[in-house]
Amino acid sequence: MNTQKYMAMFLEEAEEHLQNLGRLLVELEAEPDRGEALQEVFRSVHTLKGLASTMGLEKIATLTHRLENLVEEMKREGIKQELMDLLFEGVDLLEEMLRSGEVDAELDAFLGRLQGREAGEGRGGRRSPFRELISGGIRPNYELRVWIEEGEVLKSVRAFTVLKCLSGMGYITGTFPEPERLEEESFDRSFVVRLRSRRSMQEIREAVEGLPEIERVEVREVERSGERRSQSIRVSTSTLDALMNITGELIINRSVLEDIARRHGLEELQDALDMTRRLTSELQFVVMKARMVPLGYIFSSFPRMVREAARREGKEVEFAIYGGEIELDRAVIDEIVEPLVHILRNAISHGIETPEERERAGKPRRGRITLSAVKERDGVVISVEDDGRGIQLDRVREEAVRRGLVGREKAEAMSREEVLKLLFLPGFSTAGRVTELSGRGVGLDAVKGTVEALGGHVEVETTPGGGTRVSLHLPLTMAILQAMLVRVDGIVCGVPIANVARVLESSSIITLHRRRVVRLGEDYVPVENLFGGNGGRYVLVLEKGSMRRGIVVEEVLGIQEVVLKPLSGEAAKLREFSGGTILGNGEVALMLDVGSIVGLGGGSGSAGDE
Amino acid sequence: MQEDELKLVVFRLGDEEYAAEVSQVREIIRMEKITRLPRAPEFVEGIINLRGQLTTVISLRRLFGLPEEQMPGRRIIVLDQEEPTGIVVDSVTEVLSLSREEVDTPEHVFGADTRFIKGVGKREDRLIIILDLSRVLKPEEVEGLQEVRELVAQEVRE
Repeated sequence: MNTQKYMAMFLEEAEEHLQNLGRLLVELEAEPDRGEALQEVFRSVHTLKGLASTMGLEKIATLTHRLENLVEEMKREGIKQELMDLLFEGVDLLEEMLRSGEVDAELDAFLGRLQGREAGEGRGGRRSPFRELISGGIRPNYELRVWIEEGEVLKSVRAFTVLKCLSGMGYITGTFPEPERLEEESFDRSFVVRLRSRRSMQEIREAVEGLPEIERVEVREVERSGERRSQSIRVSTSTLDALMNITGELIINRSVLEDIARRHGLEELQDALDMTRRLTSELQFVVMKARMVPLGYIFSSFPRMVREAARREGKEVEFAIYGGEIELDRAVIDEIVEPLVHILRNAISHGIETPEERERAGKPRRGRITLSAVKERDGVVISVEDDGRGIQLDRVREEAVRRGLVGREKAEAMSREEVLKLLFLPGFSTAGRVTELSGRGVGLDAVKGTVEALGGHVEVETTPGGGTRVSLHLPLTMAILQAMLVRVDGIVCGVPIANVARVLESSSIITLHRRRVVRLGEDYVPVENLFGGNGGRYVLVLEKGSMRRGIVVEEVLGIQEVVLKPLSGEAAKLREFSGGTILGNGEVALMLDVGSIVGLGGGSGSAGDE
Repeated sequence: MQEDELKLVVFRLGDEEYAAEVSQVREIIRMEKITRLPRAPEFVEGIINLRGQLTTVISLRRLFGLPEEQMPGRRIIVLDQEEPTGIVVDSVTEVLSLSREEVDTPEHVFGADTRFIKGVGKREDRLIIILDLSRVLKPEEVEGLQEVRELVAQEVRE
C-alpha cells in the first residue's frame, strides 16, 4: 500500500522532471550558451537519480548517473552536438523506462555506447559523417534494404547519398552494417537503413529509387510490439469532458436519424444506422473507460485521516481498505470524497467506543473500521463498517422528538427502518456531546443529498452493541444511461432500465386495505398515479435498493440510450425529476428520480414490511 | 450609447405594455413545443430544448395572475443569465430607447413592495412597465407579486 503510494508520488515527480528536461534540452539546443539551463538540467537529472535510488529503481538510478556524467562533461567541454544527441537519447530512454519499465535491451545498448564512447575518447575520435546522419533514441517505423548497382565502385558515396536523402524525409535511427562500416565500404551490395518517417512507404521507396546507381529498394513497416505502446498519457479532464459531451451529442443525433428512418420506413437507412449504433456504443464505452479512476486514488488519503481523527478522539482504531482497484467515473469519485470523510468521522466519533468502554463490553480495545468497495450489477457499493456501539434507536427517537422533528407518539410507533431514516433529516446528530470532528459540517443529510444527486442511494444497517454499516450505492457512470421511455399523463418520461423491476397490465392492480397495490411474488407493491392523472394501461414497478413502487403509465414507448441533462431554475427544485433528456424528435423528456418516487409517502417501501 | 438612455425590449401582456432591458435578454424565440412539468408551481409553463440545453419556461401571464389565453404571436424571451430561463409573453412589439426623463422610478407601485418593477416608461400616451426580469423570478419576490396579482385581478374584474 505504502510503497504503491510512494511509487505514485515518485512517478508524478519524475514526470515533472522529465517535462522540465525536455523543455530545457530544446532550449539548450537553440541557445547552447545558456549555462544556467545546463545547470538546471544537471539538477533535474541529479534529483531523479536520488529519487530512483531511494525507490530502489536501480536501472533508472544507473541511467541517471550516466546522464549526470554526460552533463558534467558538457559543462567542462561545452555543448557539443554529439553530447546533446546522447543526452536527448538518454532522456527519451528514461521516459520510456518510467512509463513502461521495459526497455532493457535499449538501455544496455545505450549504456554500452556511452561506455564505448568514454573508452574511445582521446583516441583522436573523428566522427564519421555517416554517423552524423543517424538520430538515436527514436523508434523506427520503416526498414529499408537498398541494393547498389552491380559493379558500382563508389559504394560509400552511393550509400551516403541514400542516407542523406532519407535523413531529409525523417530520422534515420540506425543502419546495418554500422555507419562506419558503410563508410569503409565493408559491405557487399546491399545495406539496411532503419527510418522513422511520416511519409508513406511508396514515397520513401520512390525517393530512394530515384537516386543514381541504385538498383532496387525494399521497404517494410517495422511492427511495433504491443507491450511497447500500451502506455498512458496524461489528458486534461476538460478534454475528457468535451469528448464525453460530443459523444452524448452524437448519440442524440443518432436517435434523430433513427427517428427519421422509422417514420419514413427507410429500411436501408435503418440498416446503416445499426452499424452507427454499434460504433457509437463502442465509442461511448471507450470514453467512459477513459473517465474511470480507481477508488484507491481517493482511498489512499484516508488511513492518515482516520489515524489522526482517532488520536484526537482518544480512540484506538484499526483501519482496513478493500476494493481500491475498483474504478468509477471521475465525476462520481470527485463527489464522494466528502461524504466518505464524513461517514468515517462518524464511525470514529459516534461508532467506535473508547478503549475502556470497549473492554467493559468485552470487546477488544482496538476498534475496527472497514472501508470497502464492491462491484454490483449496475454500480458500485462503497461501505464503511465499524464494530462500535451501533446506533441506539431509542436515542434517535428521543433526539428526533427533542428537536421537534416528530411527535412522541409517532416516534414510538416508528419501525426500525423509519427510525434510521430520521438520521438523514437535516441537522440530526445523536452524539451525546458535540465533538470537534463530527458535530459540525455536513451531516448525513448532506451525504444523502450528494449520493442521490449522483443517482445513487444510501443505506444504513446497525446492530446495537455490534456496529454500524453505512453503504453508498453508486452508479458506475452518470451522464448516459439506458432508459425506458413511457408516457405518463401525456408527458414522455424516462426511467433508468436498472430501476425498472417489472411492467404489468394495470388490470393486475388490486385493492388491499384501501390501498392500490400489485402483487409481486410475496410482496405487495403500492401503486400510484404519479401526476394525479386518470390512469393508464400499464403499471411500471420501480425499484431502488429495497424499495419498490408502482406507477401507472399510459404507454410504454421503448428502451433507448439517453443523455441525462440537468434541469434549471424552478424545474430543478422538483424532487420527482433527476433531469431531462432530448429525444430524437427534439422534444424534451423528463427523467424520473426513482429514489424519491419509491421513497414518496415516507416509511417502508412496500406493504410487506412490518 | 449614452448612460442616461434605457434600451428596452417591449412586449405585450394582456392590454398592457411591459419592457425589459435589452442587456437582460439573450434572445427571443418563437413559441415551440413545451414539455409540461407536472408538480411544478403553476407559473411554470414547462421545459424547452434550447439548442441542447434544457431551459425552464415561465408564463408571465400566470405569474401575474392573468387569465390563460394563447395569443397567436406568443414569444419566449430567454433571459441572459447563468441558468437559462425563458419567459412567455403575448407578443414582442419593438426595441425602444427611452431617456431617463421618460422614466419614472417610483419606490412603490400599487402601494406594494415591488422591487421587480424598475420603473414606468412614458412615451406619448403610452405607459410601459419596465421589469427587472431577474427579480421577477426570485422566490423572495413572489410575495410582493402576490399582492400585485390580487390588484391586477381586481382591475381585470372591474
